[in-house]
Amino acid sequence: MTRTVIIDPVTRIEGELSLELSVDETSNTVSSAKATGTLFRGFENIVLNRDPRDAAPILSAICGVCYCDHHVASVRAVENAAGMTSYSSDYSTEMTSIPANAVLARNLVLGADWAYSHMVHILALAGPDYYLYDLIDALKPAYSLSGYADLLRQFIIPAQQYMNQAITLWGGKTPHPRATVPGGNPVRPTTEVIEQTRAKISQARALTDIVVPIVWNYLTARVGQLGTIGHGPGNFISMGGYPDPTTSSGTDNMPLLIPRGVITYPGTSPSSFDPTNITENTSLSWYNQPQSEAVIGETTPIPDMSSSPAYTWTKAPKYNGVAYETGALARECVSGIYPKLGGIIHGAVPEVAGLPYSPYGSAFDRMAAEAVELLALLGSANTTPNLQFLSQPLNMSPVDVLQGLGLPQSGLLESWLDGMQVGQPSYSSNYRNPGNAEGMGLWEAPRGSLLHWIRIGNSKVANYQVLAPTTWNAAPGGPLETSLVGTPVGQTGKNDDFRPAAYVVRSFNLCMACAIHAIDVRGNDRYVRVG
Amino acid sequence: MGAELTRRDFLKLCALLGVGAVVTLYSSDIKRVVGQVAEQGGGKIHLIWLNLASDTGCTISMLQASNPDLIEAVENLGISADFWKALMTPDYDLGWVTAGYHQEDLSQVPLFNAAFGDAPVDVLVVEGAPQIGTPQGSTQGYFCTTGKYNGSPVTGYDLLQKLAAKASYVVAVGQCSSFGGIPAASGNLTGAVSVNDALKQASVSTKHPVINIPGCPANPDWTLVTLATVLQGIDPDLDDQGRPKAFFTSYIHDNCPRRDAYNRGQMAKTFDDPVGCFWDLGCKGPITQSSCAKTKWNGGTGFCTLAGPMCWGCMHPNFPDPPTSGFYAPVADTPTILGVNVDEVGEVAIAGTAGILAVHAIRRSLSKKEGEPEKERSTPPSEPPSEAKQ
Repeated sequence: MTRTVIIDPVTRIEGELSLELSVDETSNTVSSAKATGTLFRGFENIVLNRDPRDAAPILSAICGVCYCDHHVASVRAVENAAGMTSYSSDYSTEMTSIPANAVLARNLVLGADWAYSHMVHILALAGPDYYLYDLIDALKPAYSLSGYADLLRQFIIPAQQYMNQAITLWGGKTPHPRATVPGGNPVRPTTEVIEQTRAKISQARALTDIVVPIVWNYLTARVGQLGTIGHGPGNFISMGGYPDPTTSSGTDNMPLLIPRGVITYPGTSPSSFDPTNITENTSLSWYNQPQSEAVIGETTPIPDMSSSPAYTWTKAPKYNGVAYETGALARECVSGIYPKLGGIIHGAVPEVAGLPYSPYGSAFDRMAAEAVELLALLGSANTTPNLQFLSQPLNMSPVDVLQGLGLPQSGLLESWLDGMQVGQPSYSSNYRNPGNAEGMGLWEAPRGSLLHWIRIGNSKVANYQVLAPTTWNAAPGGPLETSLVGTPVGQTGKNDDFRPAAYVVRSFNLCMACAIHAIDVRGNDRYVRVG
Repeated sequence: MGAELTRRDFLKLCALLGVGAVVTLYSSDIKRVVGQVAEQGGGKIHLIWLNLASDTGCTISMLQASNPDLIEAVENLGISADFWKALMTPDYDLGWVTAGYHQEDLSQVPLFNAAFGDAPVDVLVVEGAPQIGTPQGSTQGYFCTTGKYNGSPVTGYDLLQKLAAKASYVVAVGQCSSFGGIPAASGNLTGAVSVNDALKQASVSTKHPVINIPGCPANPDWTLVTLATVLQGIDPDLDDQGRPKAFFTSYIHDNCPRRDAYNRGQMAKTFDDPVGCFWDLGCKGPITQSSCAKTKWNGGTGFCTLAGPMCWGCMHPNFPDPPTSGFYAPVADTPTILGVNVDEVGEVAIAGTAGILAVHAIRRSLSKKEGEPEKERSTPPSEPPSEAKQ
């Protein structure tokens, strides 16, 4: 016997999501799950026939959480179309004619955007599921905290505000700093703005140095539960980011700090990323569409809710025909950082398994991977060796972890500030509308892989496609639905019965507005066209 | 401070002193008035934050409020946020379950209890544009649904109608709910419109005029002051677009940190110009009414024309359509500032500061005709013209 449980709306995520869970009453587990995105806006149609440069300030509003990422991805697509930026044939490196300072300023802004987004997700969105990781009790001896409001006021809100203020110094305001334009990031690096930014980073770090180890120890103490739920397809994709212009080849051949690549189960090592392998399936989505693979190419927008058995506005992107998970865990598996951390832990506590805890990914792995990124971005001054795994001491501090991973103690954000050249340009006025061209902006947003693709015709936007992280994760038949299967459900008849399911759902850090930005796609082009 | 705030002066004071100062200085007044309202309403101010076609950016913007921050404001103002999907802080439990599980029992679904049941709604905040269009093969409003009631999906359009009719105040926070914004821009497929237009379409009347706080996103400090105002029982002084005059009267150009450059005719030719005015590169500050330059953003850290390159017109009623876009096209050379038409300046006698403005506008247009920025730097005005305005 199965019963159906509908959770609608799912709160403490971005956007509109409805979940339908079938619960097997013999095993008391979820036997199948349907994720329905219930808001459609149709952004790509709105940018048609506009100046290509006008797309970015509009498309940043696809998402009010990872605004910087959509904005910069769109600018990068236009720069790619205009011949200012290009990808190597295997997409592993990039070349650009915009100044190194601009590359670094974008890295800084996007890195700060990741950091604030992870803070909000770990603490304010997912945090209440975990009783706030017992932070209030842990902090009480040293701070005056009587409840969630105090925790928000003294730690969570200020920490994410420092990151938003850092972005504001380089982008004007948040959300939706619209400063980056084709050609660069016009704010000139001065000693003053660099030091102001450094101060914001240092203030945020002071808070995360207190909070993150407590969160880490709370999660790792519960690996036995959290590691066994939320198993996805085991396929991971990363579209890469953070080009480094400070190597000897400058902006002529920039390596990427976050590499592009895919890991396909049961493999564990990454292979190179090729956007022409991406297709999109709409057979279960509310679009008027032949029941076949639909992909980036010509567009005919027909939202249509009559088509059975469709049940969501989210399309189903595939890589080589199968579903992939994306996000912090996916890119850290592709980059090797996360397995490397697993090696460190395994070395410290030989009797426990390493990371990822499950080769399919798990609720634990996704949360832990975000915490690791927060540490990598902000760095740490915390040398207290209090970190644990399965409640066993690792005899390691956050600083030790950074050293073990080969990451700078002062964090990646500061490393990008350090690379800037005061007095050198941050903008190049060499953008010219290419008239007729195609371009692609590949990036990793906080929630995973992001692709903006533009076709310019007669100097206007002739076609535009966005493939966002949550489109991969919340797709019909995608990692979210897959990972809910097998999740235990309690039998008390109370809300708490679904806490494990909540762990799984929120571990994906869903953003439904991102997931459903899109219009129908139909036409002759089956595959992503590469400009 | 015990001075009693007058109805007319509250918002003006806020614009002058900043939100934090007013809420601090007048906290006893605010508490007293809020206490009265709360007594009548059973203890708390019940606020519903309704998301329609939005990107949640205005919610994230509220997290950037400073002095007071969001938590201080909620506590000082006695607000109970009965439904705020992205945050759901008050329950401190599995917010998703309290929001949507056990749907046969309205009391477990605060949003539906407010819309369809007897839960009180004092303030309805709307983030995002209502969509009144009909998807092919479906029902009106099905582009956005939130939850199910009596077995059917509930549309955002329906929730808006029910909640707006019930609420004492309706506040449209952000560009999408105020004016339709990006979801309602040219090319949209979903029939997205402003809250006002949707309510008009549905023949729903509200107890007070809908208050619009436009912007992509709305400035959180202005939003909190406006909420503080209505919770005092004060109807804010609104302009003909439904915007609180305190924040949306002057033009960004009037108070721009690059205004001196404009007055000198020093026009930026590239986006990384650290000083020059971005008019020729497409800045929409001259046509956008807002207090960005006065109050700034993110705790006073900055705002668009301060960091550069320019204002994108995100609070202009037509954003992102013309005249705010093409974003890189200069606005027409007839500034609406002070109602002065530059073309007529030579023929019209203009007194005082308006004259200074006009002179510089003429200089600018002259220099533009020569294809070179004005180099002359003599006689910069001693003070910004806008200060003397009104």
